[in-house]
Amino acid sequence: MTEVITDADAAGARAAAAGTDDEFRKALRSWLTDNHPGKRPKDPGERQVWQKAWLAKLYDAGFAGPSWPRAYGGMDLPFARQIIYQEEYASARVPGPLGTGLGIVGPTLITYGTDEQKRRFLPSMLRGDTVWAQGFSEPEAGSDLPALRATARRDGDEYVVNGQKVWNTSADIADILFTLVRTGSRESRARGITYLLIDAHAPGVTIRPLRDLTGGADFSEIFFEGATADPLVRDRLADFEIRVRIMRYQGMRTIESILAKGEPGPGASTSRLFITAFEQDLHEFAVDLLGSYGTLGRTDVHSVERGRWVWGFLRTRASTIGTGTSEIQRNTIAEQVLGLPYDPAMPPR
Amino acid sequence: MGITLTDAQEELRDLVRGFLAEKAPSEAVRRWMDSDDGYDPDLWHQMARQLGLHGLVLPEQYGGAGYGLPELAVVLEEMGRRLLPAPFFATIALAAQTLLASGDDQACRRYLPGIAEGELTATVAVCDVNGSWELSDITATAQRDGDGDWRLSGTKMFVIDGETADVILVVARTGDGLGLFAVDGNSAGFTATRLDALDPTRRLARVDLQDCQAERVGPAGDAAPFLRKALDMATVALAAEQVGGAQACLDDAVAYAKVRVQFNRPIGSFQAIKHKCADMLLEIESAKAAVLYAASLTTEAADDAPAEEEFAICAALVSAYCSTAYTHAAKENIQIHGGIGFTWEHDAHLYLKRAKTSELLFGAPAAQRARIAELVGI
Repeated sequence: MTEVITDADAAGARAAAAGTDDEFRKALRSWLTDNHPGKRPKDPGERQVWQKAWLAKLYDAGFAGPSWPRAYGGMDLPFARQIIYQEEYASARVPGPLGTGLGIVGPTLITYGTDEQKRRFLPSMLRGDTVWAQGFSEPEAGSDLPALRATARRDGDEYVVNGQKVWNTSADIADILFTLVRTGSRESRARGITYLLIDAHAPGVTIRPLRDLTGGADFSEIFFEGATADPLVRDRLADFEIRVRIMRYQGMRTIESILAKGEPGPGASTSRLFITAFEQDLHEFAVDLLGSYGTLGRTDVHSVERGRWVWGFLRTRASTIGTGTSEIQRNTIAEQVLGLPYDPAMPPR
Repeated sequence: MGITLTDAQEELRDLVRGFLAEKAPSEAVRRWMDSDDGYDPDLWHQMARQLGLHGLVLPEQYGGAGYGLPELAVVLEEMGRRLLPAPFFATIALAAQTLLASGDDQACRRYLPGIAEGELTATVAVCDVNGSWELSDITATAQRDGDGDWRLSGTKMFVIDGETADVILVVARTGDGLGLFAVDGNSAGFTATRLDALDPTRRLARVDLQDCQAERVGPAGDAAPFLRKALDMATVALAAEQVGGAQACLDDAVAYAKVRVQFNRPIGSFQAIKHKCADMLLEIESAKAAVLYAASLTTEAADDAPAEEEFAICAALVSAYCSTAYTHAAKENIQIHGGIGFTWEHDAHLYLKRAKTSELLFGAPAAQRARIAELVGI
């Protein structure tokens, strides 16, 4: 089991947190700069080792889990400090978390887990010692998640699980799967679903990497680089500049709303639609700017910036599908934010 | 006008569609795209000999059947529908049309009968490293050596099926404007290297020419006018292929929307999906009309200046519209399929890659729109 760090281990982080916002920002920035793990290895195996080493270092120094309780290795920062942390972490260009547990099952365990579950799972998740992956979607249950069919049957002290899950980011490197399975009848929809944690290495669990249309899987990032511009290009670039700024303003507004009222406000629900359309448009525009060179893949010696824009053009097709399609998001916004009536032909929630 | 298909053209369409449905299912396309040559030589010969597709639009005096661009459009639409990986577009729509446009009887007699029989593959190398399809941007050079033979130097990019072509028609700059030159794929000083193309179903190559011996094609003097016309013909032919691909995307999306059940009903019953499909149909039907009209212009034997300008405008608008419509249809097909549409196993991505790549060959939509603006005096 991962040791919970003591104050002595993380004196620097504790001191930083005790200062003003500005001092905290500076201390965090200099620690991230001084401890930057260097260039990302190309080989996936080496990259995982490199990333785990970084996460462990971050944890041991007390700079992991800004929103997590100290009892489980986190920093327990107030919300405004969490924003500062995320800004500095992003601009330091250090590796992000491994797997998808941290942002999804982590907070769920913190809120709903038993003390034993918290002690057992949270520190090792935060330190990167265990990698977590989500198992929610199924072939016949995508947008309509309550239609999921994988079953779990209680047998003594255990659950016996049968079924198939898809779209499990990082499942190929995962140690633990957090899943939604059916313990009630099919008709019970969402009420008959149970949240189970499953050992990814257990007998009977088979995980196959899913080759997506990009030919692989990776992370994407967005930034502008100076493109020489004719009037049409300038017009489009100006439009992207406008949209980037609006995203920032919307983010600021959401943060202020949370700080002032404890709620994100209606703008937060539309921001994902805004961002996904933006990233698709941006990548496609970049490919269009490449002209004939936009016809090349990632491995060609002639491909521009190692094909990052062409790859991004393909990768961002998933932006309007994953974690709920844009169509489902619009339905949810219409019904839950605007209060429009539910479709009477739809199954009950 | 010829803006609807004749009975004979419909028969041709049904023949090619049935043939490809049987011979070129998705599994075969995926096998060929990963093979060394990138296509199936057996199928290639069947298309040439049994169906006579290669000679279909070549003049009778060169071993062809004497049909024109409308028939070629019918054939390419079906090939586009199947994403058939084969050097048909490069050989017939690009190289053979360029040879014909050159008016060089000797060169036509030398190459076209072999093309009609399926014995010879060919392509045209236009773009230099600068990636521009503007003829004025070409920098590769052609010079006469001491014996009076032409020698080519330079690098050509995005040469469609350039690695496997027997004959490569190279556009190069002479002291007297542009010239078109035929190069044997086995010549000394000629190297073709396969590029990692985004679209796995259509091969692209880089061609390096180092003092490479070549035969001039076409009359002395600037070749730009006939090259421009040949590229416009190829652009319209490509648009026909794009329409076929877009139609396949729509058909696939509609079929899936009818059977994919979420929330206890087919997703096609949701307006969000219906509207997407209706918009795709609108664009595809419009694209079809534009392609048929553009192709019909080439069968009327008017080669006066107004007719040529009308065809040039048409070629540019057809390219801009069909490119955009295809890419849109390919993206919507993935979106309507949801997660399964993002997998490697589903063909949706092959259509997106073909669509985006086709959009960028021969000049992207923005360049085509700029050309229209210039031609109509906006």
